[in-house]
Amino acid sequence: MTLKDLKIGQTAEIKSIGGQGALRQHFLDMGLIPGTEVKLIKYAPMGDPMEIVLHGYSLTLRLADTESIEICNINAPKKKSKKENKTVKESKSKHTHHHNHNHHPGLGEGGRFHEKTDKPVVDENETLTFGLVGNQNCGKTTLFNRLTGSKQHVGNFPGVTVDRKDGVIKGYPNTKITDLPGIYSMSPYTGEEIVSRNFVLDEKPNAIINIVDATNIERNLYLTMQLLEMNVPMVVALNMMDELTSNGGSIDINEMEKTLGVPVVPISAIKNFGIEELVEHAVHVAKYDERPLRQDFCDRSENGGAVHRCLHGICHLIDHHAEKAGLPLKFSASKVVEGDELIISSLKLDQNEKETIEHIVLQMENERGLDRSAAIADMRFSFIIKLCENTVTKPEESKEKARSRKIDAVLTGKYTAIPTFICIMGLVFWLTFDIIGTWMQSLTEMGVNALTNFVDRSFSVASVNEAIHSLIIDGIFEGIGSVLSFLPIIVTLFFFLSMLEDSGYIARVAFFMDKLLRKIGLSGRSIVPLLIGFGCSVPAVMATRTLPSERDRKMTILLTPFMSCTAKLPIYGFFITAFFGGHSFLIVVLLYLAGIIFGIIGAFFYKTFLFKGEPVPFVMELPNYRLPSARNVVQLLWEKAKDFLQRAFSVILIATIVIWFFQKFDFQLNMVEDPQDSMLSVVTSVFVPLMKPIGLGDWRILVSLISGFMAKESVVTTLNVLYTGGVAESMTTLSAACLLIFSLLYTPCIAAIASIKRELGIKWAFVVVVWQCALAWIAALLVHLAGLLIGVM
Amino acid sequence: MSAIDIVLLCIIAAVFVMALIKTIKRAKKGECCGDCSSCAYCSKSKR
Repeated sequence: MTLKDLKIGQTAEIKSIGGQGALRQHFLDMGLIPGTEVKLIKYAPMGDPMEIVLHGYSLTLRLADTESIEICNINAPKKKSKKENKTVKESKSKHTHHHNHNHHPGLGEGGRFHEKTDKPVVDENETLTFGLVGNQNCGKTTLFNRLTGSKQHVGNFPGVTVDRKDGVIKGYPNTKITDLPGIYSMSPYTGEEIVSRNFVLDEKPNAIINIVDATNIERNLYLTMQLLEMNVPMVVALNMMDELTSNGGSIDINEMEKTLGVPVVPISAIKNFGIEELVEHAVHVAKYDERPLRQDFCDRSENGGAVHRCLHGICHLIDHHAEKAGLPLKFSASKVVEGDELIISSLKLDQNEKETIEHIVLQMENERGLDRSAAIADMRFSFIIKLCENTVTKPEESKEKARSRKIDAVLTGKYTAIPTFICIMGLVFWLTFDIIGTWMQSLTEMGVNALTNFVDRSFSVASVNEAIHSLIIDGIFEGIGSVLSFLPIIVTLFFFLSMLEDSGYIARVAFFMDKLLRKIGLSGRSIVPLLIGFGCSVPAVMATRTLPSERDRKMTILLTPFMSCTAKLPIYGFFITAFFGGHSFLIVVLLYLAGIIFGIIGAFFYKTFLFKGEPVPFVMELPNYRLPSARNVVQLLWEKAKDFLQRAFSVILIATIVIWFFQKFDFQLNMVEDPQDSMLSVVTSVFVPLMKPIGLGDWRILVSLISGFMAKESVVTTLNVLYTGGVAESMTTLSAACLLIFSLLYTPCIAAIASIKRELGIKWAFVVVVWQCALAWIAALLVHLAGLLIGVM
Repeated sequence: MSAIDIVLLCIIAAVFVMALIKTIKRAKKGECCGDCSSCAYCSKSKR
């Protein structure tokens, strides 16, 4: 019987994990090991994937992937250990007892393991480097922001951080801390795991700060085990302790510190509690090079000591190879057993040694009754379970978990999930484009107009030179002013997107959209970058790094340009106001939908011709819902507004001035009366025939579209500068519709193309530019022909 | 050209040069950290 056959609400014990390769290793690393108890919570609304609970956290898996997981003992929960049967009250008394006897081990402090007066191992002037390592969504970036005073964006879905970020710890100028992407293990399953692993192995930081989510401690400690094996000075930061204790849970810190052999510091990154103590310990272990006292987690008395003998035997065999390769011995030994090709090739073992190791491992498999990867994962989890039995008192169910369960009953319910999603997205767009955004936009517009009129009148009174007057009013004020009025709409849309992301809802969207996305060749995880694409394509492209397969990454990156980014909003607003007044909300929604429909068509095309094969398995953790912090939201909005203003007063301002100059002067640098005689008109007219079939055969439109390549908002500023009599008088409704669809689909801006180039290389970046322009041209042609057929002018 | 024209021209030129420097700086930094909410192009300059 497999996990697929389990019914909702049933529990079972994992008997074996089938399959092979990286996915199987990932399953094991996530805690799906033989003997683990799992409970089926629910299926996604379309029947796939499923949500299970194991080791106290929620995990989603596709039905096809669960076919390889064999189960037994259905509805017969494992006999609880002595500790688990204890009530919170009993546990408290036990822990009090512990506190009386468990003296603070004093790791990471002066006075116990060395004299306080001892000189540090690391030179005083040397910069201490730290790596911030932990599971996804355990609060690393929040801690990083606390430690450095930085303002990196944090979210509530796994994989917000996709690249490393550096900072200096506040109050410690000679330090450098690196925020690494969240990982579940040191197995190279995703690109992020390789980034983090290589950081520890290659850059050899002075110390690691391992952040552990105290509310989900068993799975989080799995990574801790592997970090300890790496023999690097380390401090364990038990984050979210406030959440654990407020729900009646507790952790015996002294006992945990003694067992792990590294300093353990309880903290709450969000409430700024325990941070100073954490920093002091981290700096201390780095300065004095205090390595973990324990790197060995195999028990010689467990299961006949099979794993113990195997690991220690291999340690002897590879000792000098690991030393030569600069790899930690215990870490290398366990990776060799797991069959990690990257580590095995780094060790440069000869054939005889490889064969000897293979014999040792085969013997261990026979004795242990588990395959190599499962045996190592089981060894780690057995240690963790024992550690937790001795030190952790778990609450029955946290308030946050109970709240999430209730909310999920509606938001991911079988019949309610998709209608609720449509309602939420509809509400977001309606509030943005029809209520809040429009109201604030009209206020901004009033302000900009009042200022423009005032300056215009003042210049007339002061008899300012005609050319300068025109440059400031017709160029800068018209151009920048028209874009500035869209600031409120952009900020409002980002506000709602950040609320969805920070609350944990986007992870649920990925869960219930997986089956639908699989039909177009993508995984549910792709929904995250695609939704971010509605904000800005650059972070959307970067967010694809969370996808574990190259095929899915490429496909998702190629689809992000179809998600209409906020920079295109000024274009929509500008034309909708001029040509389709009264139906603004409807037209905007139609444009967004058109982008999605073209994206779906594109996905089918990519799936059929470019990226054949199956999307990656959907193994994702569902975080608890959290109320987005006001600080986080305000910070994000401020950063967005600041970025928009910076763009308006840098690249857009330059484009405005340059375009004004070239359309006001001819090649002899004489100011022209008729823009048709300007330099800009003469040069761009050569390319106009190309745009004629799609109803955009005007050099001014061509110029505005080219300027949009620098920044999409420039399309509007350029049109405002070039159409001195107003766009509505010079263009037809049909041309406006063609321009809207062309703008929706044509090449992303240069910043987005640069990030595509970085992720996929120059060839793909070039392909995206040409492909999107060709597609936009075809779509605009279709709109133009349809308009002519039905007689729209 | 009056004095006010010259002053305005100087201001425009200064603003243009500043915008150009800013744009070039942003383009040079290039390496996007993927966190546009914080930096648009690169947050390294902040630290």
